Amino acid sequence: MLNQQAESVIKIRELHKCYWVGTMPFPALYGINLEIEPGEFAVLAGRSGSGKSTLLNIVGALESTDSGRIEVLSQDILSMNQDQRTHFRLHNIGFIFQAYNLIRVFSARENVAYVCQLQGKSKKESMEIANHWLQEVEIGHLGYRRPDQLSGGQQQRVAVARALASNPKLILADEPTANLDSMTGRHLIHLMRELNQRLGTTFLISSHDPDVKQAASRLIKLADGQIVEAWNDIPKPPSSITSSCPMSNLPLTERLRNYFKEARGRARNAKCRKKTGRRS
Amino acid sequence: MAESDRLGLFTYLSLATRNLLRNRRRTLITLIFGIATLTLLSALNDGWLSQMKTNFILSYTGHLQIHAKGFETSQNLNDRIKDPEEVSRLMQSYPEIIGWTQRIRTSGLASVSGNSAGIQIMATDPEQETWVTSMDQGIKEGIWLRPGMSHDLLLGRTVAQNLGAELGDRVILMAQRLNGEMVSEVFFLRGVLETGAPQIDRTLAVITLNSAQQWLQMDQTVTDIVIRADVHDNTDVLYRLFVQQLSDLKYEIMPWQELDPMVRQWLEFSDAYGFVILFVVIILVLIEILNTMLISLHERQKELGVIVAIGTKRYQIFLMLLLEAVMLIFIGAILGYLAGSLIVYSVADNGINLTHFANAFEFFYMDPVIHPQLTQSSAIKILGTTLAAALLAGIYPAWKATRLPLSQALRIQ
Repeated sequence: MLNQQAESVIKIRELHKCYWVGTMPFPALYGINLEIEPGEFAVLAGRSGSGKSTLLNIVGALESTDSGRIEVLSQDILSMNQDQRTHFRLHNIGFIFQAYNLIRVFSARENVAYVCQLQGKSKKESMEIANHWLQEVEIGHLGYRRPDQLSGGQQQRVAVARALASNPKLILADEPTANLDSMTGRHLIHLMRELNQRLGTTFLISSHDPDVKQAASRLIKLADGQIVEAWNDIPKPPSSITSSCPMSNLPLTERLRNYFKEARGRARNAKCRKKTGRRS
Repeated sequence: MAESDRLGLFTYLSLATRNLLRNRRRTLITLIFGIATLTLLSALNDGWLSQMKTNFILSYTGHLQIHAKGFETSQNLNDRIKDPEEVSRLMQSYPEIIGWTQRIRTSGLASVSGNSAGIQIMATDPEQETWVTSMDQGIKEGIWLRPGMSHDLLLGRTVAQNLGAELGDRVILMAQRLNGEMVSEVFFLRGVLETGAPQIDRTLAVITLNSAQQWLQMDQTVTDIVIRADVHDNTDVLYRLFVQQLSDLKYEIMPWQELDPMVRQWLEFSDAYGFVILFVVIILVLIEILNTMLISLHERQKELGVIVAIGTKRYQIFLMLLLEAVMLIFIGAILGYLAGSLIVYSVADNGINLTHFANAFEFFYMDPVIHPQLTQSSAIKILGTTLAAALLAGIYPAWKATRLPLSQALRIQ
């Protein structure tokens, strides 16, 4: 484990990520080290292209890395295959996207119930859970409407309900207020913060909305793929990474596999840095 | 991994149905039109082939013929059925037989006022023949053979024209007896007929069985026993029964397909042609489905990315999209087939008259009026092949969907 004392929700060490378009490298993340504790309402802030979404995608097991180590809920997500990642996301992570991304042909209730059905719950039970969460986000009376019959703010509330319906320990939100007017955005953030405090669910949000930053329990600023500043209202250091090997509890074969994977990643990073002339 | 991570069939069906209703109306209409056209084409083909088969069987050959062993190849009167009653007695026991007749067939020469032509003499029982073929209805001038009138003669239209023979003319026929002696006899032209097959009308001369037996000194022997079944499909049943009942050393039993290889080839060709049309339409349907699914996949990349992100497994995505393709084609095929059937039923009785477009229809057993016909086998062929095509066309886009790069899909605006 990266930290033996705290059961961190997210532990990241020396994370590197570089995109390639043909032979052109586009560096996205450089040596990210970060820990998110349970119950935090952490906000990743930074300009467009600073690496917020990439970091969020990696934490959400949607994207791979070039090198580095990452544990989410004490699970080494980089060593998982696609199906294991999908399973992990289904049971542990809720997602809120900038463009709501609801299933257009389903009603609000069916959208929320869908994740419960994916988890194997019966349709009836899933619908009950969906009703509960729609009421929690104050749109219980709109459950029968399809996304195109809802306003942006209402759709984002459905997305919040969907994210919470699978009972996740971590919610990742990518620019959740970007498509909303400021008043609706403020209401949504207030709602998310309230759910965070009441349920204890950890939130990691990428945003450059000042209202979101204000609501944060921790603000992590990213610039050019690096963490440049971290502000924390919880009295503990923003980053408390120890030097112990995070994967030391893995079997030898897994450790060897990870070792070679990292070596390949380091080589790619070196190539990437060489091409772009940057230093991490 | 929890085994409980599954989606109920209802959820798949619900998603597939709603996506179809949302996106695929135009494709569905195209499909319905395509399958309806295919059904009509297939019914026209089946109707045309069935009419052609009926015309062939009823014009001359019957469903089944029994000859003495080797006669069909030798065409020699010595290869004759010496005891036709032995065979005729069997006919009583099979309800599938609605008529039979005995015939003598041999080649000869016809002369009228200095003109002569090679002919194929067919001697038959005038009454029995009408139960087996519709040759009597093919009389274009004059009358059908009269029982007991031993000098009555009918000629095919072309041979009559070639000889310059008119009704009532004396026609001298020459043929060979069993012992090889050439003999001639005077007949009177009572009728000119058309069988529907030009090659028959060029040589056919019909006389009564009794007169031929006397003239050729064949006693009560015959060369053919011609049988008509109640329906075409019983030809095989009867064939098997006669093969079991009659000695294969004495008799050869030939179904209509073997009696005229050209007709059989023509029917096989027409069947193959029908398959080619079916194949082309299926390919078009396949391309249509593939195109729709790939466009849909492109349009829905983000949505698919999202549903994978929130926990839908890739095999579930595969099943969803495959089900969509199958449902799309299934609904299209059923509706299209119904629409096609409606068109077929509305024109089946009166038929489609193509006389004005092609005089060529008036030969080789073809009718200028085609009565489209829906058959069970064509329904199975159309629906089965279309569904198989849907599966094929659905597999690639569904597989492609499982390979969507998630992070890219989610970034699409």
